Amino acid sequence: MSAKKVKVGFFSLTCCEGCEFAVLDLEEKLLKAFDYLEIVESRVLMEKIKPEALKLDIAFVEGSVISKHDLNKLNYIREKTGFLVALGSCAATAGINGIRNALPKELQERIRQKAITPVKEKASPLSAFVKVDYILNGCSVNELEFLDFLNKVLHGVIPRLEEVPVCFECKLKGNSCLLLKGIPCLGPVTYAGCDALCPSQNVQCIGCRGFTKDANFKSLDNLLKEMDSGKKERYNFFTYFNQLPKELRHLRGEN
Amino acid sequence: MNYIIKKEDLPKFLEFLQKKFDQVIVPAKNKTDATCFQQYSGQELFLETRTDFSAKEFFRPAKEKMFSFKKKNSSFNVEPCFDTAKRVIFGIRPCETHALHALDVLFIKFFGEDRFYSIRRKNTVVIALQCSKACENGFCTSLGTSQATGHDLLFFERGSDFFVKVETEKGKELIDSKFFRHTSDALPSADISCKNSLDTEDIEENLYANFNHPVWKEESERCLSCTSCTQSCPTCYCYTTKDEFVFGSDTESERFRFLDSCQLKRFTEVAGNHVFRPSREGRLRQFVLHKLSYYREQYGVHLCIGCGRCITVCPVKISLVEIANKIQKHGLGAKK
Amino acid sequence: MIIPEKPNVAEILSVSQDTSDTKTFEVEFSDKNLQKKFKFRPGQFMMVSVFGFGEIPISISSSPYKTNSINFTIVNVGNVTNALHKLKKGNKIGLRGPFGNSFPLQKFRKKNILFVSGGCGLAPLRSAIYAVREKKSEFGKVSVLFGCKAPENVLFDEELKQWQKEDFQVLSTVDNPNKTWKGNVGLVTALFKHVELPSKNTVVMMCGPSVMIHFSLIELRKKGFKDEQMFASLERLMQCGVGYCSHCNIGNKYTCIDGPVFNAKDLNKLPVKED
Repeated sequence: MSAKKVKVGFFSLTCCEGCEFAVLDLEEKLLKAFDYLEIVESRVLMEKIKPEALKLDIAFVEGSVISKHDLNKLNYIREKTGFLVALGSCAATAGINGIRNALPKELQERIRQKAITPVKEKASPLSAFVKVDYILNGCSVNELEFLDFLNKVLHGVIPRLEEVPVCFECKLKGNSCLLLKGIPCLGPVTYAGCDALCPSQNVQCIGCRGFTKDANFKSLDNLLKEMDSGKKERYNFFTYFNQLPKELRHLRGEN
Repeated sequence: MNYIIKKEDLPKFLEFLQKKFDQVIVPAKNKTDATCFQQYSGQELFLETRTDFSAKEFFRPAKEKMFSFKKKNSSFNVEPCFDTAKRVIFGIRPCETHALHALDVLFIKFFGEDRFYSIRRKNTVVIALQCSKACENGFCTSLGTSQATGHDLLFFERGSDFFVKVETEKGKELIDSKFFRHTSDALPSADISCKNSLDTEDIEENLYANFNHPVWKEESERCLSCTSCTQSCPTCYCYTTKDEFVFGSDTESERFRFLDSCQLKRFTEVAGNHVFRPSREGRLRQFVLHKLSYYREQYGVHLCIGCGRCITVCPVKISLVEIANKIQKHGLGAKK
Repeated sequence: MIIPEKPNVAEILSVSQDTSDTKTFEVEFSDKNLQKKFKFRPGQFMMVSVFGFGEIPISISSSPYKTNSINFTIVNVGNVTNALHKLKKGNKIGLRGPFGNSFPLQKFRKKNILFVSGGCGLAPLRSAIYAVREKKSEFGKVSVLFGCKAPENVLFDEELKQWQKEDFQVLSTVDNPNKTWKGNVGLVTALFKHVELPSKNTVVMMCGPSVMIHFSLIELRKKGFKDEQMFASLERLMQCGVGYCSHCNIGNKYTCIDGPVFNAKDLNKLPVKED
């Protein structure tokens, strides 16, 4: 660990700022992390933001890009930052904001007209515009994963996103399988790291941590179909937090 | 010497065990309704059939600390971390005693002891419970694992009693006259008939000879690579190690090992992101062949014990038995 | 009590920068008795720990006749190797081993030897080359083939030249030459035509990327080499080195205990290429 404190900023684009609050849930552990971190900017953590947002070592950016304003802010942050982390679903996959992208064209248009500020045609993840160095996924982010990330980065290790599905952690915990009970679940295609939070409470996984590259969408879609889940229902399920995978284009149909 | 204990006395017996051991492990339901082995705390036991998850957590835990490293005077202290808790596990089914036997071969007998395993193993007393009926998807009778092995006590269900057969000195010590009375009755029958059956004749050679059989591709197309099969398997032991710094420390770190799964791509990934077994087909084949071919050839016992858990937990109903039987029937070298 | 997974502390005696991404570390066990008892055979590997960062399998690149220290030649490709590359003389690491089988040099007496290496695959072969050099009179003629991406990636440049002087045939090739490169261009298999050794009475030891091994075997068979004469050292993910973790499982063999050196005859029976 370097003796110099690591300069860190938290930034919010369009989102609920819940991820920043999830980080706050670390409480004492976060206080301990402050020994090694210098928070330069955070609307939630600081009373007053330092006006001169200097060069940053790490920027945690939550929220999606939905307006010109968001984009300008993101470009500005990227320029000032060595290592940019997409914090949470909105930043990683467009998350909840992205639901709009999957709606019928005319409905999308009506939403845009009703918006208070001018919005872009689509809600986008950060990676659509700038280089993202690491993704901490989830709605909201898992605070322990955040801490693990900090622990690694402070020792000069760049963590890597492992191709592991939620099911892996779910079965490690000894949970029964929701799919076997006939409940649609996106566990097999979603990145692990949440310690199978939802399935452990008998709640289906809705894919907030993004789809893995190794996902077998076709097979899961067939399985959901066998559970009498309709085409539209499946479409909505798969696009809740994620863009529709190209293997499942047939679900788009009448939507 | 054989004994009888009343079923209604079982909780009292378990409480008696709690005084003698650090942990008393029993089969019961967890909060997601899955049946697994857990510490006894007066909960209702699940004794109908085998549990969804095996007792391997108490021999090869999902995550275990192996070493702690402390930097001291520019060198390091390396301290192994052993789990020395004294345990008794009640209600392990005969097939699973064979799983422990299969793991003993690798972790105790073959290369020399893996202490992290052997210390746990030696500190654990195993009370097996004979199955009175066949379980869903089980095929232990095909693999000769329906009779328990290497256990300390064997319980048989008999009406309102358990008939108890003492196998070892360690087991004998638990026979307390408060709960047990001596019997000269004949041993109850331990015969069960499984619905599933696996053709095991020359299975090691045949499966390997059919490495490129179309069944692997066909079956793997619906495989979700969810790893449920390997995780529920009582013998899946493959692990990965990882080092972690104690948070906020520069000088203290720990090495963990955790169960990994051959169904994940990262299982064979080396530096430079090269994956040696990338296809789903190859990964599924690795699981089946490791269970029914490779291990037997290397260590002389099958790594599959016929409990059928991997079949039961598979969301897309891929069956190891079906795959193996298909190859035995139609593959290269099949008896035509 | 022997704990096969327990790393022993070792000190880095020196670090040399071989290429921009490769360094050779000279290491000695801190426990002098361990170092005194330490023996290995060429082709074997050790598990190297950087405490807090992890453990990786690395083959020994020094001569088996040099017993006062051990050399590892390591490319910076992952988190553990990256942490290792930051270490300096005097820093401590963890070592376990040696593990695995080795090149059966005792069976190669009186035979000509062809070394085929690609990239950092030269590291484990270097150990065998030194062993052959030490007992030169016991072996026939020796050829060393080496291929890598570009001239700046050439490993052990000085030593290659030295071996050449000692009447080993040394041939290097690169995929992407620069203006000053005078050696061959192309894959290592393209060097086979320059090899003067007769296919009879010659043994082949190879180490490198799996593609290189695959095509080298094919080309050498065309030149009349029999599978029994060819040995390759394989790379796999390993977490234990002692047969416990099963990551390195290929068919019914484990790379860490049955390998990493396999005879080509055995390789034919194994699902080495599984994709």
